[in-house]
Amino acid sequence: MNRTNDDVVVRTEELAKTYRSDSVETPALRGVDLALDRGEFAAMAGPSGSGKSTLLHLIGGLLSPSSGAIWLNGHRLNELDANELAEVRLREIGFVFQAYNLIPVLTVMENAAFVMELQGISSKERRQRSMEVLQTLGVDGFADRFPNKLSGGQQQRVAVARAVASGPSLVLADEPTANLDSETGHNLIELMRELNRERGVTFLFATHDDRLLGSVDRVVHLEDGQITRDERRT
Amino acid sequence: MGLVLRLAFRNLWRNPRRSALTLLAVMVPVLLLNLMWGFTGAFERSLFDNTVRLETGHLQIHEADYNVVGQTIPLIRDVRPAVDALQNNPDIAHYTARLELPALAAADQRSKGVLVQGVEPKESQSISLMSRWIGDGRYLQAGDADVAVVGAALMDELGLSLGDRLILLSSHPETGTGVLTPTIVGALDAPSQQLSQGIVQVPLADAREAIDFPHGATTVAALVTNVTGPWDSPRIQDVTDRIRQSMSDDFAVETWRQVAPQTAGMLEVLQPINLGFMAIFFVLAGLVVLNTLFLNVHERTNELGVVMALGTKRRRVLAMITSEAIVIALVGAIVGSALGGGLVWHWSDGLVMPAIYKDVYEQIGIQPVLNLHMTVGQGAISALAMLAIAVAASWLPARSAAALDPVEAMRAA
Repeated sequence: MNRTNDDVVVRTEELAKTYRSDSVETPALRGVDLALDRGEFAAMAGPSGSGKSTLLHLIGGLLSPSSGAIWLNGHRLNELDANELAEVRLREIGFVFQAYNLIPVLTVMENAAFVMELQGISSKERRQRSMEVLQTLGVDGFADRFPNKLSGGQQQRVAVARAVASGPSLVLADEPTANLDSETGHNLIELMRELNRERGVTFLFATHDDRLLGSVDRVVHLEDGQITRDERRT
Repeated sequence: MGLVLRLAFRNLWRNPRRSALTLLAVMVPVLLLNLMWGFTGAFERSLFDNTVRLETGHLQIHEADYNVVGQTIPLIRDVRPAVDALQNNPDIAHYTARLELPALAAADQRSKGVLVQGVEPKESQSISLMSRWIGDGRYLQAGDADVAVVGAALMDELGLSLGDRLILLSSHPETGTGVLTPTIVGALDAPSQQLSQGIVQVPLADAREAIDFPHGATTVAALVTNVTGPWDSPRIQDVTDRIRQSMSDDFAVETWRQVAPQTAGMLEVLQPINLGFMAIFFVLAGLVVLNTLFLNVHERTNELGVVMALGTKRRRVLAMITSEAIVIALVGAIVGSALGGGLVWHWSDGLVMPAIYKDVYEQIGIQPVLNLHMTVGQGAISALAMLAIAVAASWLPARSAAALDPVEAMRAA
């Protein structure tokens, strides 16, 4: 596998994705070049259908590009098979979804430790690392509860804990604040920012949420499947 | 507990009613199959016991080439070599010589063709159930002479009572005619009407005297040690073969299967019928498992998509769904085996069948009290077959789950 510069977590080259349904072709991304450095707290913005989620799924190894290339921590994703992609997702990426998507039959602690359990990390270490992150996110008091006993905001914090507890190179979050009220959303953004600053976790969001866009260091604007502006803030 | 198994257990609790119904669908066939093994074992043992304890023993010795259709059983003029082969044989529990003669039984103005059996009273009781069917009077005893026990129906037909004398005119082709005039000391209430109408037993010595062959017999029947049912046929065959090898070609040494091929055939039919029913039950249970797992996968499509997005490999997803089937099948098989095995064990002491079918039992030659019998191996087959069926039934839903596209699956409602 080719490797890129150690500072770059993700790099895409001329990345394109076209959805095909029967005889209809819908281009979602058209030649996107993007590089994300380690430790960045970045977001992709744009109207619905601009290609944010598609780009997020491509970077996350959940979709295959129609053309172009994606490197994630040196792995060229479009050369990997389904099992290898699953392994890369497991080891390198944390996911946060709009609808939280916790596993309902696992407790908060077990959800936070789920990825580590798949990785084969020992029970003791899983518990310790999960508890640390749950404490940081303020949901350690619910460790033994099941997700259906938590509020939306609490569930999303647990989802963030699941994403970061295993120590991935990159956390991809698709509209993580969309289902949360203003205050809960604000709190979650602050907590993710704290994780970024204190633990060096790299975040890439796909969002319309102005609160989130206002707190990131970089906003990549997408429109009609192309990057129209790459705005960096210091 | 591993993640896969933990998820399987907890996912089954998500819809307890559905899981309980599936568990029932898995448990009932195992329970029924165990009961069927038990009943089949009981039928087999009953048929076997009635056959070997009524007429054949586990093995018989005859004159060579005795089994010619329409011909009277030929006389063994000197039965001592056959007796010698069985005497002091550690594999033989009991043996007895019989002399069977076709005869005409007469009393007053009535007569009827019968089979006169000359038996050794003491030895005969070790092998044959005949003595248990004495209704009135008594069975033959050691030292008896000039006495007989007679089928109750035959006594009615000839208008005889206990204490009456019966005239028996025997006519074996090899010995000519002989006459016996025994006093009736017992009436045999044999369960088979045919037997009750046509049997007369006399002491062996009297029968021999009638044909003037002091060492004559037509049959030597024997019981093999450590035989509890037809499932011990290989042992009977082995002992029979060894006795045959030790004897001259003048004798035919045969197992009960060769002597009573109809009963043996009936036993051979029972197992395939049992297996046929088992296949139907198990396929139905498999379909219920298949349906439940498809529903589970359908309802959890979104969740499976998330699990895969987080890095779960397809083979692990396959294992997750298959594990649910294994958990259900394992619990169902254990409970079904425990209940089924428990009932078989409980009724191994005897299950009294409804009296209204008494005629049917007599016709097919079984006792109205069944001693259910099942082996550990049969119990294991029931449980393992259900596990295999459940795993096979889980294959399609598990494969469809493992083939999900994570992004599409996460979009599912």
